[in-house]
Amino acid sequence: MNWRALGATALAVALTVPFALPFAYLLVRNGQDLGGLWSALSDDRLVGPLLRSLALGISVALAAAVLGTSAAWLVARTQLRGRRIWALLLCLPLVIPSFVGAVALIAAFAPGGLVEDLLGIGWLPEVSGFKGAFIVLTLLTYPYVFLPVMARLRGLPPSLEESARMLGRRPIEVFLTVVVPQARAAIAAGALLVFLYVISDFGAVQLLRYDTLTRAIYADRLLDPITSIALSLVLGLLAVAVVAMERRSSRVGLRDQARMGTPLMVPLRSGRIPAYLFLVLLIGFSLVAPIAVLVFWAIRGLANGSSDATSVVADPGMIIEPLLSTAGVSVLTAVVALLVILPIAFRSVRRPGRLGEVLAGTVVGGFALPGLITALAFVFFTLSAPGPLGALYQTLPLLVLAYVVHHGALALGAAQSAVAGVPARLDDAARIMGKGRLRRFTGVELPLMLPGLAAGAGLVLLSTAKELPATLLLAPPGFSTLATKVWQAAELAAYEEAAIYALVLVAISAILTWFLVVRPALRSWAVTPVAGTSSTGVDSPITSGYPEVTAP
Amino acid sequence: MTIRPRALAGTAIAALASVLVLSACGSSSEPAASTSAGGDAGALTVYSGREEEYMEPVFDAFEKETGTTLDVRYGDSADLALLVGEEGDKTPADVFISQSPISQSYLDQKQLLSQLPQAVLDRVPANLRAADGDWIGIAGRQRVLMYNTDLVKPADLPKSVLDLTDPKYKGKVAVAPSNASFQDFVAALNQIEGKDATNAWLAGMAENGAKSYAKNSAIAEAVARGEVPMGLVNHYYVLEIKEDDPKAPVAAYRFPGTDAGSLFLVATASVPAASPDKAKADALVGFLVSDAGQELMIAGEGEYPTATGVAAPKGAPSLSKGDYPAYDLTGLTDLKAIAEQIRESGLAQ
Repeated sequence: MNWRALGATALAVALTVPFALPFAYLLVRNGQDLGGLWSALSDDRLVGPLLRSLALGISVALAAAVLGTSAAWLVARTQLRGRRIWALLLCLPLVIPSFVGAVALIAAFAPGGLVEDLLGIGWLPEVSGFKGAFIVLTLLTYPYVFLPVMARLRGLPPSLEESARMLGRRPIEVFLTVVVPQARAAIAAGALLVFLYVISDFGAVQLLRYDTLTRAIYADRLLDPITSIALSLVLGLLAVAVVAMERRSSRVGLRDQARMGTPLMVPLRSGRIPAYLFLVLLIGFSLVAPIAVLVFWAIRGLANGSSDATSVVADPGMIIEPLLSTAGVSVLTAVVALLVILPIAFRSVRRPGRLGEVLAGTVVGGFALPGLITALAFVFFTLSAPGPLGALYQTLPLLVLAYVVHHGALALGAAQSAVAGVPARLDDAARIMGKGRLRRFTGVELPLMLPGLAAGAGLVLLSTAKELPATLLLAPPGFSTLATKVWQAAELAAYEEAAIYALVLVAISAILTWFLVVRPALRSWAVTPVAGTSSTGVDSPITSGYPEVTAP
Repeated sequence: MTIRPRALAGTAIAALASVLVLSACGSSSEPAASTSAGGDAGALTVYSGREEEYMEPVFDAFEKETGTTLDVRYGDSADLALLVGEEGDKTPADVFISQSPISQSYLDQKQLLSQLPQAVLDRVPANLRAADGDWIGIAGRQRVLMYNTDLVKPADLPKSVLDLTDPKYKGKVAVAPSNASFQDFVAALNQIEGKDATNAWLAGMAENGAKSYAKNSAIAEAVARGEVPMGLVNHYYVLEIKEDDPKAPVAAYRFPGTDAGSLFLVATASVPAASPDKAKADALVGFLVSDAGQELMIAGEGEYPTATGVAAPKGAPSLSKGDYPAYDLTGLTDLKAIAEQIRESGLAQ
């Protein structure tokens, strides 16, 4: 190994260190106070929230698996009309952050809200607690199952199903006995992702008042930091274990299939009406209803005005500052993430081996740790750190650092496949012509990688724009994003105001999702309808390492 | 590969734009970095437990008068106090404004506050500020039971706040357990009725299905909409609802006599000892208790002025001396214990 390679390795390792920092901090801090850790863990403060997190995670994962798999089968395997439109609409709930979904549910059922107006009933059901969290999270997360399962079903060889049908099985029997077992790995992968999403979720459970681990960690962070940090470790270990499982299962099951023949299309016949009804209701509740509720409150707010001069309802111009902050900090995070991730991607792709895997795994670990915990670790770390590290507390650089650590992994897959996509012979040719390393990078590699890198950075941008807990904990005083504005308004029960901010946030998220996720997915579907498009649809780095979006 | 130059240009533009936007934001809303690092002398960082709606006009007036820029972090008073407690000498806060005395006393006890100038302290009667001069009352409020006049007949209102545990009020009362004013009330109830009676009351409320809200303003909205018939809040929330809609079916009920439910509380301000710019921070606190500052705060919220010689707002319940439960305002200190006491009672947050 020459000095240059050693330098590249050292750089990659150094850039990976921040990704390990939050988890390392949790370990060290808990290790220093084993007594505190033990008393927190043996207390009922852990057991209750842990059981609630698990109950919510498991039930939402199961429900999302059923909804997502059914929808995927209808779209991929039956003679449904408007297949591509359905596929597109069924992905779209991904653009709604969980706390926005929760605001929509609460605002819908609030007295004077949409439900009361439409139904004219005086009595409204209580939507908070487990019920509310279950509904919101299930409706927003089923696409995480829908996308991989749809891709898998489209790639499945039809011979088994044809045989089953020729042997006289009804379509529903074929679905249950032939299709589901073959798609098992994809369903499991999607469900695990949903489980991770749910146990990490902060916004929905906090607004709907369901006492899960994240809620206890947040409530205790100042009142009882020792318990909060102990609970963070438990949740962090759980999340990392889930991701490890996920990565193992997806390595085994997802990427092996080449398609053989045209997939079988089941005629719907008498099942036609229930099938369409199912899809219409699913999209209605997960996409149309929340947006309708928000539009209802936003219009009502803008029509009635407000006596509160600081409210966006009174002065729509107030939207501009959080809008610019959101855009600015997200773009900055995306660019920084790319700069940090690229050397790591280079190292892990160009010199494959144990170290490269460890580096990539550490970056993914940063993503696995819930945003709330990442932020909390940075808060405590900078507060106790001396000198320049301590001075980072509540500054923009620290906020961006936390964002990069939490979302950087989203760019890793894209960056890795971009690096892998550069043909070695071009580099060799340039080298033979006497071009230096820097010239080869800017002249040959970078132009080839740019589209892929841009897609990766885009995913980071999208997630950062929607981020809530890290922004709440780390933003400098006076710095608010659209997400924190939605949050503050929701806490004050100012639904008109929350709705306006939420709609703008959802609109931005939808535009980005269209360009970054949906369009490439549809395009790749049109060209090569093969398994693997799944990874392009879900903004997660976990399901597979090398998303197809990025192929130049 | 025709998109290559465009993608390159796009990335460059995006990077440039983000830097521009953030430097713009940075100049107006993010000097916390420089403040905590002791650099930029221009701006003050304020932690405000009072809502933006009410403080913004006051802050604007101060900025206009002095040319000092204020960067404000709004949040829950208790949260912010605990945050300053955790931040210690690293806190970026130059001024801490709290809805409640208990949050200030908590920091005072940890010796994280600095003494205010005598001239500022003298604006306010001694019973509405800390004995050691580390915090000062900036506005007064009366605890009341707000009720929906369509749903509750005045004859059915309880004689004492302690009666709200009666089965008659099952599921009908809203509270804000994590709110600073409620914590103040519980701390004062400990003083007035004793800790056991207070615990019994809290548990009784939980058992009686008291509905929890995150904030007083959320309770006020809920009572006005008829979501819940009554709720324990501060008096000005009723005024605020009436201001938005004079026909709203809400009224404030003051428990008769010296009932613990009729506490008189103050919102407070202090200067953390870690503030690098104490002179400017003191000036802001001074402004809050000046005639101009007091008028602005009263105009926004309908609270009582704490500075002597400033007239009370119209529509607020009249204050007659001696009609209030006796307790030591400056003796409310144990924020964490009170929060714990409320949580253990089972009143959900």
